[in-house]
Amino acid sequence: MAITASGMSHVNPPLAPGTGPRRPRKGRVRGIPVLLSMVIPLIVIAIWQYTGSNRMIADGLFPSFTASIEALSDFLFGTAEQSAPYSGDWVTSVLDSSQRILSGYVLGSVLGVVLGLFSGYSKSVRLLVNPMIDALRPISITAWIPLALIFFGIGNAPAIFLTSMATFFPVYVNTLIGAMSAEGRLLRAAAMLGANKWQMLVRVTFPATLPSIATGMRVALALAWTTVVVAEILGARSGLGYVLMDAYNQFRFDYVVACMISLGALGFLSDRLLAWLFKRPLRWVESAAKA
Amino acid sequence: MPEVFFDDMSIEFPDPRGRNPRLAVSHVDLQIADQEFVCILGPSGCGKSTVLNVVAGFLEPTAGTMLVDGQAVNRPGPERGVVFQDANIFPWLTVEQNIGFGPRLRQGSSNEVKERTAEFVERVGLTGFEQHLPLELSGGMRQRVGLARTLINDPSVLLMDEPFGALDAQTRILMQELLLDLWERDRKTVIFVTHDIDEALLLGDRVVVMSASPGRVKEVVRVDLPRPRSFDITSDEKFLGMRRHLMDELHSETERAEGIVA
Ligand SMILES: Nc1ncnc2c1ncn2[C@@H]1O[C@H](COP(=O)(O)OP(=O)(O)OP(=O)(O)O)[C@@H](O)[C@H]1O
Ligand SMILES: [Mg+2]
Repeated sequence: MAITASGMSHVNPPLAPGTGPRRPRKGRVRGIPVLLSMVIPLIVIAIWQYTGSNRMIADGLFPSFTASIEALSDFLFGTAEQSAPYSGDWVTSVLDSSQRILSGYVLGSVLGVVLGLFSGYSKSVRLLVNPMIDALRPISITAWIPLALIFFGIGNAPAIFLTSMATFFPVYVNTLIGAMSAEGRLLRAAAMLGANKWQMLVRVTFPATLPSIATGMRVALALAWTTVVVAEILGARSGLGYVLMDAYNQFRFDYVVACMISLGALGFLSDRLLAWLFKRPLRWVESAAKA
Repeated sequence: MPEVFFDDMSIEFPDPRGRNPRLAVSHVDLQIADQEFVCILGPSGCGKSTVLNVVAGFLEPTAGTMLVDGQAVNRPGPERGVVFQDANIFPWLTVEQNIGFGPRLRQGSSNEVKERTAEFVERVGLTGFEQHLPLELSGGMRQRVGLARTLINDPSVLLMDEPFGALDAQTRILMQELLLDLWERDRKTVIFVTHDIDEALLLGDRVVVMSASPGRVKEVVRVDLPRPRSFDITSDEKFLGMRRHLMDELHSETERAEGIVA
């Protein structure tokens, strides 16, 4: 059997990242998807504006789209002629809420990742901590509010406590499952290369679990926002949740909606930020990184 | 003293239904000398990987002994390097980080480690691909990373479990020649598992033929072909004669493995 030199020198070229075959798109259809995706929001805003400005819903309490936007602008910059109780308070409120959510989220995530990794990696740690966590997990976070209030009083602490609880469980569970399914064959390879138990945990189980950690942290982020708002409604004197509830008590529904818009935007932005932060560490995951 | 020494070694696996254990490897007696290249050939399921896993330290024999350099083995370690069939490199590490994994565990990322890593990147012909991730590499390249990360630890025994089994024919030949080159410059004791007769004869000093399950050593063939070898040797008369013989041996064992009564 003769093998030619040219036949032998052929090795598959590596795939450059991001140069997969892409189907050419026809030019004239390009703008249509954008238009299509705007149809429903525009209809909703039109109905919102119409019913709001004609005082058709909830005895006229439901504010129109433009009224809500004006409230938002007043909330942000203090632009209204007769100033409302929260004129220009947006930045402070957002900072207060963000500080709480960030502290609780970071605390819950770190605890969830560390405990989840250890109990996924070691059976004895799992036997030690898992039953307790499984017993507490089904209790809804909102059910903890009374206890949080008697433990910590009114202010930052109960909100941070509740947010970290809300964050901890999904992060822990996802990390645990990821760490337990970290592939045995990779651990074997590391042992063969001379890794000790600790090095295997840090250099194999942890990176192998990173995609699950990312999933858990994204689920937890949405829960953390929900929790911080509830915690502020019931146990704080500042923050978006507090303003929202206070506006409700004062019948300022334009402000209620302005708070809702702010929360939606912050939730969206923080989710994007988290996805961006995980993008590089997860670039080795073939499909999940694009999520 | 032989480098790897099997004395009446048997390996059983527990029966999943909890009754009789399943005998995978039966009474293996084999001595592999220092710097010898031994190929283990046998039908699928005959226990080739099981034998290799014992030497690697992933498994312990149920009966008999297996010694490396006169010592019993009870855990995997860098002195017994394994190259796996599916490369099994770390998908989150670049080529360079994968190859330097072992030295970095012991010495951190010193300059010495960096130089050594660069040297092994070059030895397996991956210069220019240092920063690539495994998902950007071809199967042959991944396998070269798997080989380099093991060789960089300077193992006294190299264990290879069908390392080229998943590659296309052309790439496989390239890899065989690369392995021969690497082996010639630094002869290590190699145990190479394959079910490809040509591969076994091209690479090995001896070919150990295993019987169908439960695996035992059926025959040991000495490959008296001159070294250094290259792929051209596969058209040699002597090569073809041994090939014919091994085909017959393996054929009857494969029939047994597949339950065909001859
Ligand atoms: N962990 C295990 N538990 C139970 N049985 C096992 C285990 N590993 C292997 N076996 C059995 O032992 C026998 C030998 O398996 P082994 O993987 O060593 O074969 P092999 O010769 O490497 O086959 P192949 O060529 O397909 O890789 C097989 O019948 C297999 O089912
Ligand atoms: Mg096998």
